[in-house]
Amino acid sequence: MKPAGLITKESFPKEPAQALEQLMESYGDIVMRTAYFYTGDRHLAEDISQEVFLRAYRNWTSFRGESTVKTWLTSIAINLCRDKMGVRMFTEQPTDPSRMERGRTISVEDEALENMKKSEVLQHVLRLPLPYQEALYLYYYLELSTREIAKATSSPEGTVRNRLHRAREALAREMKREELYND
Amino acid sequence: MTNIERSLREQLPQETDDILFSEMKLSDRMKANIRQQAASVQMRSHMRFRKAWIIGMSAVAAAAILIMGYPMMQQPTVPAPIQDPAGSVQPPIGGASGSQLSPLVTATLGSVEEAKAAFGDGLLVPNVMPEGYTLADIQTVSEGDVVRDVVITYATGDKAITFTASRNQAVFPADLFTKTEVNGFEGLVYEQPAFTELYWMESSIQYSIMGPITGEDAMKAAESAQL
Repeated sequence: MKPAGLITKESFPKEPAQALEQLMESYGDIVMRTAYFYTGDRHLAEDISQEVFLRAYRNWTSFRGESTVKTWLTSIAINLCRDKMGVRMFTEQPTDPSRMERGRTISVEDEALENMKKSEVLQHVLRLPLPYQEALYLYYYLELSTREIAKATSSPEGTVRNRLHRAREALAREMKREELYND
Repeated sequence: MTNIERSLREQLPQETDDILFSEMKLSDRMKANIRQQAASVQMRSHMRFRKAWIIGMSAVAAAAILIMGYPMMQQPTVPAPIQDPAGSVQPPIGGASGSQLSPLVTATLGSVEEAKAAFGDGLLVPNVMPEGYTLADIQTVSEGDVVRDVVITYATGDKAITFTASRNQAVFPADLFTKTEVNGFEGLVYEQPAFTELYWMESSIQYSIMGPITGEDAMKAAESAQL
């Protein structure tokens, strides 16, 4: 998922309009997918993705490059998703029903739903509490480090590590239960 | 590496791409939308910069007038009125009478012909504009009886190209502009990805074309300017 050679701001043009082109080319799909992962709504994901790149364009000159461009864009995307969803979806109390019921529901087509049932990992990941899903997505799919995730989600790095650890445990339990059920 | 770790590193990204994100891409249509919105952001910021620059220059000019004018007010160099023995006051020799202020007056005109008539001989107006742009507005700026500037706006949707002709010569930041030629006359162009400014001087009139167009389109419009 890491676009080769375009990790830091120095790898991009200084001029915002030219940088925008490369940002969309290199990270367009990642931003779109992240917005969809958080919102579960394709149209909302499109709106958010556009806003992410416009914000990046407006703030390109003032972005000092203290994080990688991917972390910076992911951080913008996450904040916009949280704003649009109206709740702090990914809090430390994931099982609080009042928070969970307003979280996102990913809608998939019938065919995708069938494929989802056949998936060995994804279906179990999507059953986990949202903060665990988030940690696994950012770490294993976007390949961000725990430090980068902490920056992107404005959480302490210890919290991120803790969530990842608990997410792996929860996933292992879920997959084992499925195995026992199938046997 | 545990089984869970291996599944997460190898299978999760693959399954997520194949199932969840199979058609999740930033499409060309969305990229075009983003470019368009970015261009309008840039245009607004450009206009704010120009306004701030004009206000700034006006403030500098006002300050300069005050600084230079203050000592003159303190020590008048104009000779004192001569009082004749009969007690009547004569104006000083060579003294001006009346106000020297000449406020700029803006007027909206209805046609290019009116603008040409108001500006006087020699006003060039482009015959060609990029596709979709049509005449939207014509304004003149007059100084006393003389029309100093003609500003013609061509628009399509929320985009606008501004053509100006002015008797005042413009000054340019040398590092931003590149030398060019319009119909053999010296010009300067500043071409950005989403906005172009082209200036040229012809028969002592400063012309310019500015808008969200390419340098090539700006040049075509400029070279089509005729009497």
